[in-house]
Amino acid sequence: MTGSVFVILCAGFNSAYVDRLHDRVKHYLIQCGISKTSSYVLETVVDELVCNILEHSHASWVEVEMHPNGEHVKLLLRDNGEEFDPLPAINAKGPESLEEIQGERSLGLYMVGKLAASWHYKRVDKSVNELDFIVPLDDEVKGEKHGAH
Amino acid sequence: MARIEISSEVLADGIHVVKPAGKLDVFSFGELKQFFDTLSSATKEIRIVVDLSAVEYVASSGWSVLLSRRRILKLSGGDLTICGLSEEAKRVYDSMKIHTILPVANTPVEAARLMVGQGLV
Repeated sequence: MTGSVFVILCAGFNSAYVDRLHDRVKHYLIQCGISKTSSYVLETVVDELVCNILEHSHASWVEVEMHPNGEHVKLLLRDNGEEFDPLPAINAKGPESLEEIQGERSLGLYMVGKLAASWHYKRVDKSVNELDFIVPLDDEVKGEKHGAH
Repeated sequence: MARIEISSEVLADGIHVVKPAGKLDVFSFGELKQFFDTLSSATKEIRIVVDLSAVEYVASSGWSVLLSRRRILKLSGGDLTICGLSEEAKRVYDSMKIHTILPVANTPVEAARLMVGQGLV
């Protein structure tokens, strides 16, 4: 299967960008023959990461690249926003009790870490954030997960 | 059409079943939070089942508002459970390993039974 690239040109944080991206990602994954459940997982990962970028990084563009290979999808995200390394939040331990819930907006990157098998971050040319993820298809995530720079 | 539409009904034993329909994400979670605030303003010991069977997508902000509301309700003697997850949303729920802090059932009646004082937990 060949990969696919989606580019969002941003002028603020609004639902139209996110909905359009959801539709295009879903359409592409269906064309690739990826199951409904795996497609939902991938849409979730893309949604959480892209919303985070659009809301907080002041990026004027975000690029999402997907490469399915049968067992997993390699996901690449690039944006020209402020430098932000999400790995500490992705690697963080999740809530184990209600007392640890800190509010309505603290689960996104933790959730991404639970759905992906591995992830890396680097800042390129002091101007672009580059994230890559491996997201397994269908089967539960197995083995030790790790994130790195 | 609104991103999310929320309705509710009260079961015979006083448990409120809240049913959002649409997308529960960063752009709509505030509406569910507001709905909970309004319901909770009448009584603090309110018990709520959130029926997610008409929700096509739940983002982390949606999960967070459910978790934080359960925390608030438990502190005041109430409770919140969920039901009606799609197979896809259940996959994400299972991956997050939050089943011990946000109980799920298949139907509103089963979710009501999960609450403290209803016999199972």
